[in-house]
Amino acid sequence: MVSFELRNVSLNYPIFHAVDLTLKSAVSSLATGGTIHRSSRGRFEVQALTDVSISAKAGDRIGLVGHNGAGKTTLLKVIGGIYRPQLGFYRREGRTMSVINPANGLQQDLSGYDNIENIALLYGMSLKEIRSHVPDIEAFAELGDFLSLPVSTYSSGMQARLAFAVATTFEPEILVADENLSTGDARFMERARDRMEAMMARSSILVLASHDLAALERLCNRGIMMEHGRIVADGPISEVIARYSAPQPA
Amino acid sequence: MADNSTAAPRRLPIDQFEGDGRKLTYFLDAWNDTRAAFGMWRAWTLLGWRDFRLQTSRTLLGSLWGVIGTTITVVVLGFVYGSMSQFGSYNAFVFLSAGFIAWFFISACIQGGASVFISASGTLTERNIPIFFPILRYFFRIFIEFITKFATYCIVCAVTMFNPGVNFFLIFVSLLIYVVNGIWVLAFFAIVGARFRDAIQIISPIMLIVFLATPILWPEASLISNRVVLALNPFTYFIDILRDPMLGRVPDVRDYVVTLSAAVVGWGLAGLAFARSKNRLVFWL
Repeated sequence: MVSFELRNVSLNYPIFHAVDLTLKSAVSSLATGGTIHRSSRGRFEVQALTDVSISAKAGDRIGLVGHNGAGKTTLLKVIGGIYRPQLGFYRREGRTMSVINPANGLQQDLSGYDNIENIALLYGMSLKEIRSHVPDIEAFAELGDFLSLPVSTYSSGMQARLAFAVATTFEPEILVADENLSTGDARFMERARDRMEAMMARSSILVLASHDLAALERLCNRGIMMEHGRIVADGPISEVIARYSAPQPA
Repeated sequence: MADNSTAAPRRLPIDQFEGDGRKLTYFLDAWNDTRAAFGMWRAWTLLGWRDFRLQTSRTLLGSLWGVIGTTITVVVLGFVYGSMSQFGSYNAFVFLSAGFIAWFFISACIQGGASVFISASGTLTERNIPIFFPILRYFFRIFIEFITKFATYCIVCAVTMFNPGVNFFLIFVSLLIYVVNGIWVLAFFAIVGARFRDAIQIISPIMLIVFLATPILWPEASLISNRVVLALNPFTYFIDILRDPMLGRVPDVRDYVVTLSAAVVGWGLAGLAFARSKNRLVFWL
């Protein structure tokens, strides 16, 4: 059964370059981001996730909302299996793909075609299998001859297209995507939506972080709102969005 | 437990972890990660091969450059040093080529190893692949390069009409010892290099000193005193174990004892380091 579960998950980032961070500046930065504190060993840490619990099953399309630094990307990385929680339980069942920072996942000096093959190899495909998927990626990414050029010549939107095309072609059962996806143009976003919907038809889970509330409302059926690394709301997408966009009490 | 119902077309991959602060949890997690990485051998051999090709992809002679470089070094140094009496009965060209080939691999594992995770940071922060995977991918790449360097040895043997004889076949045992040791050395220095960014800067000058203090450019026998330096230098044994078969000699039992013990101790050490750092590594990149 495709599913994932997070139970009381907490996660800190160790900071190695913050030796000149004073306690005063640490306190003043509380408004955005997670809380900065000193670990028992005197190192600075950012508490990115605190006591997060989510349980998702096939068919869940989760829209993740929250201010910058609320912990959305960190949560996506935990769900996607990139970060291990330092505290708490984590379990994921199903093939997972993530599109979090497309530029990171692509080898900049390689062509689009070489990247497609390398990524597929990483996910255990044979070269023969991959090549059967290439026409589909070509058609979806609409990058034309650019696929033969090094990825470093692409704009960020084009990199997002390629990364997304590759990730969805491998038919993940769990797809985790960050707002970087929205660097694509309107036409691409439309087609990305179609593709995610097709993916959902195969009983999968989608987790999408975005500031584009309209898109989330169309695409998702469940919303999770985050604040300072905690989940503050989890429910039907329309309710969560309503709460998120409600004026903040002063 | 795995659900064996026929309805499921294939087994879903399961990933589970509980951060509970217990050491055993981290050991098991690191063990599973390493096992998964080795299991992806198709991926790291192919990707390692592609990385190897990529290094010289835009050059005229491609991978031949590596062989040419080593051959020129050996020929020049062979002419200069070969006339010294210290080489005695050795064929200086063969001796130097074997030493350089062995040293290439050793230094690639240590110096190259230190930047493995840093170079793989893009993949590791974007994809849920085993943390150990980049180590094997890099290992395979340098192993291919290492093997191509044997072309220099073949050229030198052919030109100087040197025949190592049957003892040469002992090299396959030595290569196996190189593989087993190479992976832990890579893993260890990859972790150190990711955590302590100064490591790369410190390692290169040290490697030069070690290179000069190890019998690569000069035979052991040429040392009149201070032999204890050689005995305490682990690299001496590693060089010997690969070079002796190439010179047609049987390596000393001591060489096998030291290199195999190094494998046992080293894997223990690297395993501990990996279990401790596996989950933190991504944050260091």
